[in-house]
Amino acid sequence: MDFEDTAEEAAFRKEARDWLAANVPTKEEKEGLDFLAAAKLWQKRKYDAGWAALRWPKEHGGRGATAIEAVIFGQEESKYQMVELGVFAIGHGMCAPTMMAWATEEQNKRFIPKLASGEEIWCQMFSEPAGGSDLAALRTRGEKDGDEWIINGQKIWTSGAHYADWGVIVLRTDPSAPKHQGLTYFFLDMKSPGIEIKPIKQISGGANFNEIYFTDVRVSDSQRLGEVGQGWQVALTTLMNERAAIGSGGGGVNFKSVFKLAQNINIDDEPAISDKTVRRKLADWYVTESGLKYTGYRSLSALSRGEIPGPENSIGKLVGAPKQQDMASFALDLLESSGAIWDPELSAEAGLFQATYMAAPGGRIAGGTDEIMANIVAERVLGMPQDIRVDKGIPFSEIPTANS
Amino acid sequence: MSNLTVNAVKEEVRAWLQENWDAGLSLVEWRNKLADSGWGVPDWPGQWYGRDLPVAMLPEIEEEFAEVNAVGVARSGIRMLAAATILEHGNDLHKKEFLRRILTGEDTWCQLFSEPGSGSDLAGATTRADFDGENWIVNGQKLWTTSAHHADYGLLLARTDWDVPKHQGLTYFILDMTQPGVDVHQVKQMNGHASFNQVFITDATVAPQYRVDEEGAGWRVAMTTLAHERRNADGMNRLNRDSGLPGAIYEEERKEVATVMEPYKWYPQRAGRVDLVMQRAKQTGRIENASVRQEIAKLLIMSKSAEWTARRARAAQELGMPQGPEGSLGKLAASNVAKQASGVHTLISGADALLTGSDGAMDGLIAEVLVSVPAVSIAGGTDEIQRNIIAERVLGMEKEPRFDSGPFKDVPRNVV
Amino acid sequence: MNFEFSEEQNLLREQASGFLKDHCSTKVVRKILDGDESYDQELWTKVVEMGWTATVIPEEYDGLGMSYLELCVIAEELGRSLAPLPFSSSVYLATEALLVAGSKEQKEEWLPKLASGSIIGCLAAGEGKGQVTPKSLTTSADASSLSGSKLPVADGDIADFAVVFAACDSGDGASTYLVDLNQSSVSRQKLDTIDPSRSHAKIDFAGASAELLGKEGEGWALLNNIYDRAAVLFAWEQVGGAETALEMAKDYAMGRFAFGRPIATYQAIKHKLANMYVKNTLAKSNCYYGAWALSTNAPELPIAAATARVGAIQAYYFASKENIQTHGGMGFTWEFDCQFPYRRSKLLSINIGSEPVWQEKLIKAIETGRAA
Repeated sequence: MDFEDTAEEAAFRKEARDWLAANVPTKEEKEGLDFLAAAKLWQKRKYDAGWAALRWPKEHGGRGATAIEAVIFGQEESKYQMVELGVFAIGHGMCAPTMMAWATEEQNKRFIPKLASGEEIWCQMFSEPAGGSDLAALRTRGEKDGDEWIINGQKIWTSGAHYADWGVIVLRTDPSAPKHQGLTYFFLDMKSPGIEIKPIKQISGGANFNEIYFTDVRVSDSQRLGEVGQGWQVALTTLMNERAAIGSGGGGVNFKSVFKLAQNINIDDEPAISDKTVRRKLADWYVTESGLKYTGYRSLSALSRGEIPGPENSIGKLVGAPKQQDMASFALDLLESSGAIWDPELSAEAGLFQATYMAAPGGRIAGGTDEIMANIVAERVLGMPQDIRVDKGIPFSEIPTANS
Repeated sequence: MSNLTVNAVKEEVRAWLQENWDAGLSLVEWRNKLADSGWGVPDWPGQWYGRDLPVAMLPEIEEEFAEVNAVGVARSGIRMLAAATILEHGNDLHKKEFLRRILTGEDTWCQLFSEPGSGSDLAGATTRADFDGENWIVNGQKLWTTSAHHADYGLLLARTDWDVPKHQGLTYFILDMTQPGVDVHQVKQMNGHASFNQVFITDATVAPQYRVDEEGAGWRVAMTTLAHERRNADGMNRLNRDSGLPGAIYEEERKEVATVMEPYKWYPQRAGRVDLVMQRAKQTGRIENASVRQEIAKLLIMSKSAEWTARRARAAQELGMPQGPEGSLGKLAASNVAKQASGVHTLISGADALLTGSDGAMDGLIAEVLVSVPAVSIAGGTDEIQRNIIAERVLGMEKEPRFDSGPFKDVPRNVV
Repeated sequence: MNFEFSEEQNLLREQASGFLKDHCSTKVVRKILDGDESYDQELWTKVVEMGWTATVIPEEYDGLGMSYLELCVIAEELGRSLAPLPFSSSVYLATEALLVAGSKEQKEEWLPKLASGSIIGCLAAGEGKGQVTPKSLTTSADASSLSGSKLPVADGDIADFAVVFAACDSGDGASTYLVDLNQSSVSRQKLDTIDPSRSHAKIDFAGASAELLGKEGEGWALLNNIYDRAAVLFAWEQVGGAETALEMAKDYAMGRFAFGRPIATYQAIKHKLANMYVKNTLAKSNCYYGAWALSTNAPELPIAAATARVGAIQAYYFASKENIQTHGGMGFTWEFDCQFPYRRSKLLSINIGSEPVWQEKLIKAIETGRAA
């Protein structure tokens, strides 16, 4: 047991590291570029040098690398802390694998290289106001009209829709079929007439997600992925890649930041770190963080051996999100009344604790709520039965719904 | 109720006690007098050993009894649940035959509801009663029965119709526990105590007149019994009070209480022994530790708020308000308190907590807390069931969809 | 990255797990819990024959000279089977003490016998009330004679010798001694504990002849070093036990019906079990880290050990209590096996320093680590 790279891995890491050192855009290069332009600049540069979309086949613009090589490159790249990388996460992580599995050869030739190079950005439109955790309850309609389909309805929680060029979407094409059977999957041009995009302001003040309204939007039948009524199976391909794409996130409060705060703030005129209760809480968080880290190492070891990681990596989000919330909340307690101030100039760690406190509720919901994640662990990992479904085999139009 | 009435009743009972109370009587002799006079259970109907007085009057009357150290009717165990059920659902034959001997303590009762295959799901009972033209013939197993080994009668819930939905196929009976077809075994718990029985019933008989209420009405009748069970929680306190007085009648009462309380002697440990926490923390010096202090503070807050909630419920009940959801809230709170207390005791005692017997912390009492606490979140309805009750009955959330509403014979269930 | 056991080690795991399934069912645990025996002698003989007691003892002392990773594998499986054996006392504690601090002569005298299982060792630190510290020790010793009382001593009633900690005026306040327990100035008395499937004793020393282990006044440091090493091994046992508790809960939930459906279909139960799985998985990953640190003698061992220990304590306690809860009333009966993991989890969580003690050690280790 060791933490070392194998000889091949070490060689690959060195190659990646050297290339990154020579090619990561400098401050001057990024001068004047906005978030999106900076992201595209870097992606194109990687693409041209054969460092983009490492896992994809070479004929699709990838590198044909192994899983562990992709991880190694990711580790090295993440050292440069380029937040703009997130722009491609959905397209690369979810849309591309779905296209590669379900689109025609010709379509893939047209779209995948531009995805890899970052010239075109993709988004994913599944969620709707009325169906959150229950994705298949979606109601946005798709009606056949000759060689085209007409889309009417509303999608929500779409990241990056406002700058995306293309998007994948699931529509209800047969309301008289049971709910998982009446769905069909398409990809479409986000600039199509009839699409209206509105940002959603979150409680944290940010606006990372959008609502999208569809009014008689037309999409060609040739942009259908899978058969009519097979949309749920196609969507599963996308969803299986979702947790990999979203991950547990690196930012926010962690043990180190709370530990540092506890060293620098007093309780009863003594450093908080000398308080036994504070120490016990910190110990627990350290243990959890360490558990997540080494669980990740176990998965990496499997990748390194060319195996598929075990189910243990499905717990990251379920553990990480509530932990961040608790740690941020505790940090605010330590700050006493000054914890209320949220101002980069005045707050400890430039407002990290306040920002995490306000963002954490979203972290426990986005990409599957805590409850859904626990169901996934129970069902897919432990093999426990699914909930007894009251909506199975019933025509969708007869399933009880709340009014949205 | 006006003060005038209260005073009049108090005077009346005082006069009656002055005339009749005699510590020289045997327990049964005295309790027969109580039954005849109606002063033993004054809130019962005048026709059946009571005086039709409101419940709120009872504390006043009890005060007068206490004044002269007069013994009351037998109240311990399941007997008062039997009495309440018979009063509400029984016929005159039942009332005549059983109520007096319940009050005098001559007969002991037990409750035969739970089964190995139906714990949380009480209405899923599969013990069967079949009518053979003359008698009901009972076959099956009952579990978690307290005091079955010395009970004379059992309150039995049995299935009489398998073709109707589960709540509709149950019938309520009074079972003679002393007959040959009734076989009682003790169940040992993981904390070493054996407070419960398993009852094997093989071709036991119940004569038709000992069916309570209609055939198929068993669930409704059982709900009456259960409602009284939940309400009875503070009846225990009265039992724990030892008169400490010399004299034969007190001695008899003490014996009676001791027998009934035997299965419950570990219950204080099951509840977590919050009362010992401060004492232990001071004794061991652990009170100085900040994290021990915080955990104790958390425990005392939980325990106090549970206590105040219970008091509010009791006050509401005394004002005659209908029973609310306090039962479930209280039970869940007690479970949380017990678990926290168990944690705090471990925190205070360290490795010392693992020793039972005289070498252990407080002669092994703390170790007994650790192995008894798991029961508190299960017995009398698990925490999960209590949360369902709170969600459904208090918050008005919808029930889970049901899959057991068809004929009972078709409902998937445990095979025991 | 190779953060995984080797194929040979996994083979050993399969072998151990198969063996314990055959020879250490819960019936074996129950026999010790219910009876007067202190441990299962038959099983112990077999375990010794398989060489488990000799795992990390170097070949020059008749051991197998394998790494701590192999021992971690065995510990996990022993924990999983809830084995009623003096393995932890003899191997994780007594053998470790000799390996860490024994002189050549002491190693030559004791290690071959420990390896062959012809003797059993134990460790006597606690003296009853609360946490052990140099200040709390009342057991004392002069050059070669030791007096005092120790309790509870795991396997103290059956062990042949004990590693005993006594107060000392110099150094860190404690010294360590090897004491033969089969001498007339030693008396022992079996204790009742919350886990009668593992025996414990009170040992009284009245001027017992004793031999210094390690240097005088370095006992406290030695005890902490042994505890750090043993914490990793205990953590593996705990994680094994926690996985057993989860397995028991799952099997029961899948087969138990309430309201016309298996209770495994209720989210209240599913989420309970998912939470057990999450805690077990994190704890296990921390155990990997501990195993690595122990096997490579890494300077991070104190951090790795405390991390593994705290995680394992919490996971086992949680899994064992929620397993009972999943079983409902039957889980609280003597007849069902749920009591075994519940008893064992508490025993293992307070035997070499309880949760708060290790949380404190962890933060202290991080503080020193960062300061350095």
